[in-house]
Amino acid sequence: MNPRLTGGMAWLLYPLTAAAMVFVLAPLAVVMAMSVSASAFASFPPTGFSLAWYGAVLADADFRFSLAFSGLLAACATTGALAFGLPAAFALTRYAVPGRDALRLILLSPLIVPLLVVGVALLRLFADWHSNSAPVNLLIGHILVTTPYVVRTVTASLLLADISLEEAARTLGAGRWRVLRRVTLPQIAPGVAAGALFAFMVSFDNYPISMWLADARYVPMPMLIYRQAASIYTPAVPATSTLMILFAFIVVLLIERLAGLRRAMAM
Amino acid sequence: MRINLGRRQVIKAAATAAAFPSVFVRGARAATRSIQVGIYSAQQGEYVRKQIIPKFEADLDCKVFATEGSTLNQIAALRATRDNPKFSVMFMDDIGIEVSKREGLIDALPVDKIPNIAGVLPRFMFFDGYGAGFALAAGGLVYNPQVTKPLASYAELWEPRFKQKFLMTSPKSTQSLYLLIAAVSIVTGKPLKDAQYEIDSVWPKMAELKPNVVSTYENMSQVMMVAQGQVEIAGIEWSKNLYPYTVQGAPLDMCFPKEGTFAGINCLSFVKNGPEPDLAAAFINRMLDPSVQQGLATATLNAPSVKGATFGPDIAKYIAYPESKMSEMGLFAADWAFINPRRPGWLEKYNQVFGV
Repeated sequence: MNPRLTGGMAWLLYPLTAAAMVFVLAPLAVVMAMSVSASAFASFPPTGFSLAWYGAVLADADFRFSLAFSGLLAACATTGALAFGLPAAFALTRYAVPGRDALRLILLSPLIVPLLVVGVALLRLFADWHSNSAPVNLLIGHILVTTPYVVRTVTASLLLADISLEEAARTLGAGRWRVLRRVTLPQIAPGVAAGALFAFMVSFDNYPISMWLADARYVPMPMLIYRQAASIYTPAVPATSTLMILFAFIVVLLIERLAGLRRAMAM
Repeated sequence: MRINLGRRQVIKAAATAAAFPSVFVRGARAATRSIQVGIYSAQQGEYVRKQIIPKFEADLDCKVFATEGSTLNQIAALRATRDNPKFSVMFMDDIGIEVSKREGLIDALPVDKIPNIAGVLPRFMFFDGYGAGFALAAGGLVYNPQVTKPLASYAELWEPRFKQKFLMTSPKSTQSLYLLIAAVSIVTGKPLKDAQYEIDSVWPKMAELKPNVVSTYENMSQVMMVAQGQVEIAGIEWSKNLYPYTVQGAPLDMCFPKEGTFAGINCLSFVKNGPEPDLAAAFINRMLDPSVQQGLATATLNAPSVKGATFGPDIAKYIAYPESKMSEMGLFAADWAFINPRRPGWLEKYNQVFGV
């Protein structure tokens, strides 16, 4: 356990940490406060207190569809990111692949290139392919931008994994698949979980890619919120945003319970 | 930690991902023809999605894939797909028609395949038939009738009583150009149609406005500051954005000062070399159908572009219609061919003056 911070340093660090937390959380708090306003229009500070807007949002068919669609899209994008990212991370760390540094750069490039640019490029690509299916286009786009998160976290885990354990298992007669399942994966599980978590949330929150690839039928949650905000700005908009914040919070808690988020993040 | 990850689980997960498109199929059915249409968002987008497109699809046994966006998005999408056009019809403001025509992104509307175009008021046909207006919003100033009297002239915005009380529309918006034109009109005394050619001379006057500008805004939600009394005037804003708040009971109204009323015109355009041109023409024709125009205007509080629509007093008071009312309000549409090439420079100047 880390020792408690005391003395002059504590006087400096505690207020700074508190200020940083306020800076990060204040916008979310404002949104949450606006969502419980009793008035017909969103305002801050809120007037009165009501949870009626949450009822209205949850009863809205478009909201329910978008939430389910975004959840499924994020889950499938995460699966795809794991399918591509895990082998890629293994190849980059365990094998002498020709041009490894260049490959790593290419795999991580969606993190560097502005997503708006990636979105326009994908729009052009799908037009050339005559691909008019918004769900398929969105899935491909989201896999593209989420895979680097898996590659990065799994690569870091693999570098820290003890290869001698795998060699010992092989010496004792275990096959490659068994070594992977019983020795390697348990060691890198926190990295895989962290990568999957990042991939899911990046997909779930993505706007710049979805903006170019979605159509009016398949509307992911961020686009639904934008659409609502462009109409009459009732407390339903911050209520929807608050539900998204809570959803993200629940996902983080679940990962923490299932895979040990703190362990994963402390790599 | 122990993970029981077998081959079956891996295959199952992969199969779920592969089946994604078929898991979520919304309103899909077999149709022989399809077009991609770029529409607006907000109330108008909702009406087009839920009321106009389903009936059009049923009547013509076709599929219409709609994508929502703003004029800038729509033009960017047309540019990105220029070599292999994906869209057939694109909604965009009159300001975008000029750009799209100049860049060869759209074609002239095939009027012989759009019989309803005969009913469109001539003032809504743009750039030699490359754009046909289908909805009109009026641009003016937003005020709280419980606190402020409507402004008779844009010149009042410069008065000391509005110090730190004017919420100005973002320089990035089309409306900000109209504020410049109004300012030229005040300085020179010229009508808006002549004032628009002298914007370069207006910056000293705009600098005098700075003390009154409390902030700039991009989102309509910020206009609620007027209702809450934090500011007294906001704009220039479109009637279609503001009046839905008024209808819902917010203490907000619009005024259209004597210099003139600015026209925000939503147009239909025909994408150059777009797929299924006949179906695209039929969709444009449907958008200009008198009954569709009537319904769209009622739902979105935009004026229709066709002749002969009638509205009850509860709707009529919010829209610039019929044509005689448009003339009374001094409706003004800018010369975008002159303005568009100069706009980046003016945006830069705006940023310098107001530090935004």
